[in-house]
Amino acid sequence: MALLAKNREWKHADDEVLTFVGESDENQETTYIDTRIHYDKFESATFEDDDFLRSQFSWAELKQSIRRESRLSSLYSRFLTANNISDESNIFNSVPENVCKPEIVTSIDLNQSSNNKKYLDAKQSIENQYEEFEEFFGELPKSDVLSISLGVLNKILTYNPKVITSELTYEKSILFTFLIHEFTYFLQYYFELEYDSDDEAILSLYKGDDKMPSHAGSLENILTAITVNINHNESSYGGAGYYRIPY
Amino acid sequence: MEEQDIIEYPIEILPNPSYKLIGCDLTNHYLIRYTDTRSRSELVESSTGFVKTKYIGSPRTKLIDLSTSILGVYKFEHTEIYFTDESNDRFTEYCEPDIEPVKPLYNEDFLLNTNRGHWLINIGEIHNTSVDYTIGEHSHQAVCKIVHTPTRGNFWHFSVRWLLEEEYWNSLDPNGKKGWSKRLAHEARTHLQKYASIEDYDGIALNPIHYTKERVGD
Repeated sequence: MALLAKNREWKHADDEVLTFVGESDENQETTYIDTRIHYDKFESATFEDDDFLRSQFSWAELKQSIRRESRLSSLYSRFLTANNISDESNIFNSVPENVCKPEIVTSIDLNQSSNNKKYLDAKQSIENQYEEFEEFFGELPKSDVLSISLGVLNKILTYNPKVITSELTYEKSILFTFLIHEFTYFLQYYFELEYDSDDEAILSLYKGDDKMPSHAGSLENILTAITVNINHNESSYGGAGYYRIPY
Repeated sequence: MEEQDIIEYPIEILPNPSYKLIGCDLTNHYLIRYTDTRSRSELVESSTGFVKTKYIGSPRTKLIDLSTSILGVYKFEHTEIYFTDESNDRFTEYCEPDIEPVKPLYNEDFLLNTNRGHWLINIGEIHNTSVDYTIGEHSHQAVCKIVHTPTRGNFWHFSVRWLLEEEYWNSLDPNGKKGWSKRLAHEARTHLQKYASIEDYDGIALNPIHYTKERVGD
């Protein structure tokens, strides 16, 4: 399997888990390699996925990786080696352990680092809000609200919004407000469905102060509408910006 | 028994026999709505600058006919007034603008909540603007209307309402139970959120000719 590694995410999802995503194009299909790295706070870290590997890392090593994202390349190298995978594009610019090299920071790195912070901020915000809204969410537990919300958030973050906020509402839903170029997007995602559908979301959109047509439907429909809007307006910003079709 | 401060209800915000309904152009005037907190960091999402959804109008039933007041004679500090449970229905009842006013009494009819904050919105930004929402597969438009709706406790009370075709939302689905109400609530709330601000503006007082009756002989 050849890894093109067009994109990878490094999500410090919470205090216990790092998620590490690679991408391949085997058979012209995008495959996501997602291995979770569990670590306890003081001692060691372990890759979770039995199919790939279980390697032990010292806490000090992992802490270094957290502090400097490029250090993840060493974890990544071990991951590739253990699974006999070649990384043809070598976007991680593997740095041998214990060798200090100048970090190569690309725009993708900057976007990713920025998105990590947005992700963490949003997660913290949703957790903080849940207590206030608990009675309105009925039997929907905090863990479900959080995992569903973060799933939607991850998809929105692929568009690299300049800023994003998340608000739980009294209507068993979450409202994401985010800015991309001069557009303001209000995406409300409902946890409770009225109709026989997989999910339900509404998007209202403003270009500056001008109201644009809204969209309602499944999250997939809404994300398509966002992609179309970004594509449609991309030429105004001097060429292709960084975004991709959400998975 | 300790002597208690007597706080007088501001009579300038009560209806008055010489008043009439306000129907002039209000483009440069601001509506104010109270919030339960005055903490800026609590009221506003710092990264986007938008007033938080829950302070705009939640749950959705509030958005169907959102209560506000027009700034001017009505000042920021008037948002601290709230009616007691016993008197609330009486003084928040809609009325003609020129009724003989009944002055609410402190403690008995009203109290003050000094922790209240507020947000403002420029009437010109929202009046007669429209949002779209769907019923089934069909797209519909709702037009925002700012309507003078005096109450027995506040002549300067205005309602933010939504006109759907020929009827108002508060007539068609007063309890917000229908499926399309959910979608319209999203549109209405985010529309207000887009233009609401907690920055204080000096409200321009309306020229009295716009709210007082012409006297005989004038």
